[in-house]
Amino acid sequence: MKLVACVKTTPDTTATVKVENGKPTWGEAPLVINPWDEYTVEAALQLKEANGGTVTAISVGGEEARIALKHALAMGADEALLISDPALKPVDPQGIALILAAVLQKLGGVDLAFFGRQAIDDDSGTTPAQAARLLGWPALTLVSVIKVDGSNLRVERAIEEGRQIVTARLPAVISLVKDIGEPRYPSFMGIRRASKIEIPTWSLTQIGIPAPASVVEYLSVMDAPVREVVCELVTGANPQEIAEHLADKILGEKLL
Amino acid sequence: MNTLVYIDHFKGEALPASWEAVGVAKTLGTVTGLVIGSGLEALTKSAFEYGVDEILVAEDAALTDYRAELYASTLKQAFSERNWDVLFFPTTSRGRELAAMAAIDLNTGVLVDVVALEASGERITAIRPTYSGKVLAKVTSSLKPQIVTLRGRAFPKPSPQPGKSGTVTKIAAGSGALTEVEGYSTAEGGVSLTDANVIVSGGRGLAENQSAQLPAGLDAKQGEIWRAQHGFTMLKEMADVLGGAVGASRAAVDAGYVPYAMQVGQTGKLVSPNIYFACGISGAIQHLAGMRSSKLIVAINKDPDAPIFKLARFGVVGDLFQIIPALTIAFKQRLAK
Amino acid sequence: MLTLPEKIIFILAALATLAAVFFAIRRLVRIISAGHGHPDWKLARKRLVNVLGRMATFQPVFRLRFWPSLFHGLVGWGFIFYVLVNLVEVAQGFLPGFVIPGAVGDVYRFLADLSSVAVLAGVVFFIIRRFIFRPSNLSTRQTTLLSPKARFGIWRDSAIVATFIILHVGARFTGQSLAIAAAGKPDRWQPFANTLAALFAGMSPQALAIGEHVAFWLAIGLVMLFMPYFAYSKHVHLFFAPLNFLLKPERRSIGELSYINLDDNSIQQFGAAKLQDLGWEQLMDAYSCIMCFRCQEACPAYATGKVLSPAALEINKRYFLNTVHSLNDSPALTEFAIPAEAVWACTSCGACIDICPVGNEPMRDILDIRRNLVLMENTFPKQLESAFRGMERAANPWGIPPNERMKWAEGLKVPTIEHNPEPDVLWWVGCAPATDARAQKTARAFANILNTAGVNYAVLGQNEQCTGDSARRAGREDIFFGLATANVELLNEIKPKRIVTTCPHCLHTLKNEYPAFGGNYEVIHHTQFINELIDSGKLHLKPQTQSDENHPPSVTYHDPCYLGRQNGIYADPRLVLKNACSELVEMPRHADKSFCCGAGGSQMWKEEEHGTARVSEARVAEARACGAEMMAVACPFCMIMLTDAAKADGEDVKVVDVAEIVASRILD
Repeated sequence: MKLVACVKTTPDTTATVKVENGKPTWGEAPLVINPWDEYTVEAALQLKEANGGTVTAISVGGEEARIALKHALAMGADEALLISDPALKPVDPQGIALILAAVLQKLGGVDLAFFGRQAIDDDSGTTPAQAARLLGWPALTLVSVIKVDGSNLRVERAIEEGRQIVTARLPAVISLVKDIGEPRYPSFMGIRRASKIEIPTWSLTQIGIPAPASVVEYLSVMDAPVREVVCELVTGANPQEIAEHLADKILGEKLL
Repeated sequence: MNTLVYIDHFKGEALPASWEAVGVAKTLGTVTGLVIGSGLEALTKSAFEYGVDEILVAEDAALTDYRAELYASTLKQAFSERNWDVLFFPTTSRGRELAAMAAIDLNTGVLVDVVALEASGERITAIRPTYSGKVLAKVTSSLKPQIVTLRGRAFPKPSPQPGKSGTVTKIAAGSGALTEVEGYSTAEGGVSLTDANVIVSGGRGLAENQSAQLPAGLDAKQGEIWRAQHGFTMLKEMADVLGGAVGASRAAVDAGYVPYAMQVGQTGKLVSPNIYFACGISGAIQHLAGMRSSKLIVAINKDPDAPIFKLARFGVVGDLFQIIPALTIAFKQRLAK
Repeated sequence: MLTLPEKIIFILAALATLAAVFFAIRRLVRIISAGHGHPDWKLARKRLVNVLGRMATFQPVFRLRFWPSLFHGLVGWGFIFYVLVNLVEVAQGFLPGFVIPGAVGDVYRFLADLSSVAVLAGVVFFIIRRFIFRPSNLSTRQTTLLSPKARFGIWRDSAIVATFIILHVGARFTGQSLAIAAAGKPDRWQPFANTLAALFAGMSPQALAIGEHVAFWLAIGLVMLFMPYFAYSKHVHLFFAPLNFLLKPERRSIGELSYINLDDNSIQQFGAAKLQDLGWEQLMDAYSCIMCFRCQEACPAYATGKVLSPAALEINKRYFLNTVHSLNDSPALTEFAIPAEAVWACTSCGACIDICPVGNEPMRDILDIRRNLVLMENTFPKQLESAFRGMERAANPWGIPPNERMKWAEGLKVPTIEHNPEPDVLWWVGCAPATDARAQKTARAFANILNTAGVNYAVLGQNEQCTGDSARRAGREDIFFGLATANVELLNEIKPKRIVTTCPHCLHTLKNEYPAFGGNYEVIHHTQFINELIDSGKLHLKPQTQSDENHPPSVTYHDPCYLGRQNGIYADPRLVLKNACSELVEMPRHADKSFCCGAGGSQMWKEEEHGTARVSEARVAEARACGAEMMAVACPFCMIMLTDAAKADGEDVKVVDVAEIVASRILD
């Protein structure tokens, strides 16, 4: 099987991200593979182990994109491909979908394209569905179980109401959730091997498409109002009152 | 402005976020609701009650189960006959996906998971969270139609006006399905810890419910474990109301109250839910390392000096055996609406 | 005394023995040389006098088990003299009438007589101890992986050696008695042989003469028979123990691990998968091992029911080596020498190395095996992943990012190196005191002390990264390499005059392991620094007065493995406590015999392997048993482990750092 894992490099989840000079910055915090994409690569590797084939990791970006690609290689991906072009600074998620769709076409013979459910910088989560739509391939998003038999694909999708079991024919686009399984830890020998592999780069001309026009304008960015984590002790005359106050405050945070 | 709101539902029952979207749409102009599926009478009726002016219904046996390509094509087809200025979707698993595909189909952009918006003239400007909510971005699009997905609970739900109604227009189902739905299942064993949006976690304090009636014939250690498991059942009740999972600190696992699979912390599972309830957990660094990236931490502990309070947003110094049941009831009341 | 035919037989037998011994030695040398590296004979020259002294006094043996050590002394000293005795015997056999004349001869015969009895008494003690009393500290539990040949093999080896000694020494002793009987009058310089000679009084001269010949052949003949057996017996420690002490590579401390250049792309094997990956000295350890199980007795993992036994590791190596001529095709070490579960139970406390009477270093084997498991085979306890990830991404095994590294100092005046670029002393805080809530109190107390004493110091602040100790002890040399390289670069830029640290693991790594990366620093522990401050009058503590707490808590000091045993710092913390007016009571296992808290060897980041008790809880129980109400510690890992253990057990023992005790007694 020809499997492709689409990965991205983002700041580490523990990074303190602040807006400086109109741009988000994270100081000295390291850039790492998008945490969701570890599951992406893991899913691809699991399928390769079950059905045989190769796993190619691809990423769109500048030199920082190599970080995600090296991680994928260290986990066990067979090869990697970087898509980089000066015209792509900046590029929005829909533009990425366009590029990836073109690359997947150009690679030819791809059976499955794996994506993380979202990238923790932009947090849109729209690229997998859009890439699929452009390719005319079925989009199976939020997948937690994958089975391939010949060119028949069967997945379980994690939806609000439980699991939806869907079948489709290859080729297809899949985006993963955590239930696919713990991503394997890149072994030292894997890291060593990855550091020696030459990663080829494709520019837009090599892919054969123009730079995608931006469809969303980012007017400005600002720090989310950070309340200093001063613990607010909730009190009341009796447990019921305390509970009511607390429930209201929690719901007020709009996280449920 | 004319707006089209995709009413997201599962088997004919709407997701509350759909009505929030209707509420937002109403502030901008006339609202057309789009419902796709089968057995949609009740849904259509509710839509009018929540303020939709007219409804497009695509009803067909083939549309009974949600299938992305089919629903997206149905939407695209509706657009081939009419135009709307704005398309609203709730940011649900289906809403996000359909909005994404619609953007491609209609050659426009999509503003995803927006938490605030304003319209000046014909242009919508919105605020959306990025970097896991640490940075807010102000975004807009100059392409038409404008597609926006709205984050759940970020906008108020309108009050329904019973008996209100409007025009229903039937539209044809789209084509081009690429998938088949085999069926559904509820996730086994409840929500998994690593995926849960809400985690209710218990520590050693769970064994300290003195008022629980012990069954006869248990020795001291067995009694302790019985009490603790009783306590964890109490946590599970709250977790179920919130659609979450139950976790535990290492101390509780070591003491034999719960299995290791439930351990949250450095040597257990690393979790990052939206809400983490730390009940009877003191907050040792190894535990914190496992859950500190939770968006909201709520601590309930009888010890006011417990380190967990330093990391919690809300805290209650009190008896968790009284607070948790009361909290469960409070949440049940509020979430049932 | 010998007849011509006897002499001929003797010479032939001797030649055969020499040939057998030659081949045996050649085989051993070949096997040992198959390990990495070569011995540095210059070290032997340097250490000769010291080693001779320690061998002569059997000092390493006496560190544990007094009575067996005493009787071993009898056997050992007796046998040292018996080298001369055997030479004289052979001389007497070949040269008729050969005697050592005069007073020298008298003293010789007296010492020989004494030696014979001493050795026999000793061996009888050992026979009774091993074969009749069968103490459990002479064998290992059934759950330990021990070569099936070894369990019975050790018994058989001991039986053979005991028999040999009894017969050899007994025969020579009997021979002397027969000679005395034949001479007709007692030899007052051989009081014991005299006694036996009385038994032979009535024998005929021919019988006596035959007896003497028989005694000779038994005594000397057995030696010749036994010598090739040495190569397969633990008795060969006679030669290898001194060699071990003479040739062991120099180490800055017990736990200073070997340097691996991660930038060297030609290295194919990291760590030890098989015997041939070990160093020559690690193979020689197997031959030095006397299978006494002292290392097992000292091991905190074994003591708490884990399957780890350092003794079994060395014994298994030896029993395997006994069966081969080369190291080719040897199986994986985790298959026959030590199972992976045991490898991951080690707390790297170094007690096994410290207590070994023949200079073995089983801990180094274990950590080398870890390197292979982690780097080459990628199999290790999953729980270590988060510590690895933390060190990789946040330079802190807890994963707390650098910008939060100074949070512990909120509200305190703690100058960073940016504000004070040329301090008299650089305070290396350590990840634990900076991050863990309980250990932060130690940092705050020490900051208080430094500020009160007006010390010109600075901390690295957000630039302080983990020293990498946890990575290295877990086998992740690559993470350690990255951290060490970066830290050395930074420190060499700063050029601190001295470094004081509140964490013994940092102390060990900075002082003993960073030199391999080009970082040579003077590093001291915070208790040493506190003593300096008190001595120089910069810090004054409240004196003990009558009106002090009517009942000051009795304090016991827990020696951290990485401060005490591995870096020899025992007195300073005790002196500080004395200056701070603490009533010190010592636990049975203290100073170099201190019992680990259980955090070392990266155990801090994982659950303990399966056992019967927690190492930390065993230690707290020991403190409680000696009547202590308070445990004073000098290490943040000890602090965390022992605090948790004390809490689990009912909180009656308080755990505080020495710095906290001092800070509470500052005279302001």
